[in-house]
Amino acid sequence: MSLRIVPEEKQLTDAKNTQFGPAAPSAPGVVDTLRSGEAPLSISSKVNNRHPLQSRIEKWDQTQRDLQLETYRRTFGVADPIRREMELNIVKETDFRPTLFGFSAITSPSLDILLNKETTIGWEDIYTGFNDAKPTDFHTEMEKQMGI
Amino acid sequence: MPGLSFENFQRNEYLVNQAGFKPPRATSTGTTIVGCRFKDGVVIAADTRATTGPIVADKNCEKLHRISPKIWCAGAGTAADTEMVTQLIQSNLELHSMSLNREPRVVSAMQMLKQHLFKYQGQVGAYLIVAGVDPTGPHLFSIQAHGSTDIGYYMSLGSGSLAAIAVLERDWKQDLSKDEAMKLCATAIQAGIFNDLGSGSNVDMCVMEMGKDAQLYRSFMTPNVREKKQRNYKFARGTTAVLRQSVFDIVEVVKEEEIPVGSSDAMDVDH
Amino acid sequence: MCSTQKSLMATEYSTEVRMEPIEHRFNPYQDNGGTILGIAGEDFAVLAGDTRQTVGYSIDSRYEPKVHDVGDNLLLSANGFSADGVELVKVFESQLKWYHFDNNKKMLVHSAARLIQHMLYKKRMFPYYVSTILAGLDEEGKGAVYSFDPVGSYEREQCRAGGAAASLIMPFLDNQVNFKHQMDPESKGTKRRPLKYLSLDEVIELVRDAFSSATERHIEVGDGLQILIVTKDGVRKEYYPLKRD
Repeated sequence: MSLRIVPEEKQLTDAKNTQFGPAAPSAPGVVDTLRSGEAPLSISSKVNNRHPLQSRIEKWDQTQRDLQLETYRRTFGVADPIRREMELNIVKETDFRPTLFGFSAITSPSLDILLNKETTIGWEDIYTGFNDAKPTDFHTEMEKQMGI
Repeated sequence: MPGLSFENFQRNEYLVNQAGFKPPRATSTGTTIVGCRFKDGVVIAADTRATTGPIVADKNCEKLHRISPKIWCAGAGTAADTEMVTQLIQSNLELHSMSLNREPRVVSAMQMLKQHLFKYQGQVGAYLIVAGVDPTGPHLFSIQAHGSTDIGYYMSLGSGSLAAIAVLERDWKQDLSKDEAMKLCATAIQAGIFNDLGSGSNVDMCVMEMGKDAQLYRSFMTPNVREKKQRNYKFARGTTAVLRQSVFDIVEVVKEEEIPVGSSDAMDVDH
Repeated sequence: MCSTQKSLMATEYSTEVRMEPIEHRFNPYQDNGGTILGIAGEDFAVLAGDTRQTVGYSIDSRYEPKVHDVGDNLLLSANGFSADGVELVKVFESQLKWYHFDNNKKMLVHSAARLIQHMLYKKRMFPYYVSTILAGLDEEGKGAVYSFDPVGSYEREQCRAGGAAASLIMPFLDNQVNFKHQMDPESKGTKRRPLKYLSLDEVIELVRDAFSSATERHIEVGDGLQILIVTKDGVRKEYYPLKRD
């Protein structure tokens, strides 16, 4: 475990087949192009020629979080970060998301509080991206219903 | 992904490197900006020219941004970056001060700005002079796009910074009065306006003094008023070619015929 | 000159792509900004230029006149890389002197234009980086303006702007000198406005407005405006200050 302040600038030297798309349940070694609705993924285009900033920005928050948890581990023992991560996961998984309290598909005040972000605003809060949470597709729906 | 989008990076790389396209140019505020402390306050000033290459994009743009009522900031570099980054930090500082129920501090604004800019490794091209008064006194900072900061009694930034700092170095002294500081900043900006092609037009100024509201002087000085044109370029009516003409009724016009009451003709019909 | 091909040095493992053009050769050229403008009238021609000389964002001089009275009622200005402009005018003046020795007569404006063409084309492979305008009176005494590209292609015109703000001034001239896109008001917008020669006063007003407007929107134009006017009585000079920001 390290005490990194900024994300490591490391280019991927290898990539798994299924790293950039969901694996097919029936054939876990290949990307489920039927389900993702994308053409066969070009892994090289996902790895090469990315903006030099992209991975830094994407990994920024996680790096800060890791540093914080690591500091807690060294100070209070491993129980502290474990408890924090558990709490975080509980809040993430919860179904109780009243809009009245500011919950939405992308925002969660409880999560913000646990991550100590309730009084800050960043570009992520303004440019929320297109609705990333895709509705479950036809195949998943069928599999669920048929119990496959 | 939420946040600033990198979506088109690979496509744009192709367009620029392989397909022979030129990358688009952002409006840059070529700019002279200065800041100067005085006895119990601080003043910042800026020119008002924005350029795209050698063309003047805006003759009277605002380079002084409000971060909080008593903390202001002058921006040089990419116009969009200076504007957006101050807006973002303005919101953050407001949230922060509401959460703590205290007046916002200049150091907080500076810390937020430098942390944000550091995260973007200088790709957010904002070069700022942050100044203001808070309960701990007057403050003056400068921030570079990569996230480094400086503290000082007087400073200048932008393409006209060399002209401006020359004036500041010549005339600055400890414990200036408010009026002296304002005059000094105006002179420094004018040095930039006249000697740097990236700077021009007017002098904007903001004075922040302990125990008083910040004062923004938009067009504090206007040393570059355009002279009256020699000729009048009003075109005579009929100068524009008429290619086609079509007239539409905005409302439907219904013509009604008035028939006088009790006219003998009307009566005749019934018979 | 530098290679226009961007060097792209990305490998699968590198995180950064270098994009600066790599300079392979010594680059002897420089852009000194500034703008010139020539207009021909019925019995006069004017050639005007601003007096600012720049490099990048710096002003090298606020008064460096670049329109020259080269003798024989000819006005010449070469705008762009000022060292080349000065050189071109000097060589022209010397050639003109030899022309006088050899032929013992004044050089006519169309001959001067042809001479300049050859001076420019001689350096086809290492050109003068200038846009050149020559003004004078033709054999009938009518105003003549000749404009040249850097390697000698030339044309006689009614008016022409050259240099940094040429693209700003030229459309204005098209409209105000050649009445482009202007209809005769009498015809209620159906017939073109008939062409006519502008008077000297009108032309000087147009030139002053063209330069004060270019000064507003182009950073390399300003400081001062010199106008040289050639008539059958000789060459007259005028100077007007421009904005200095």
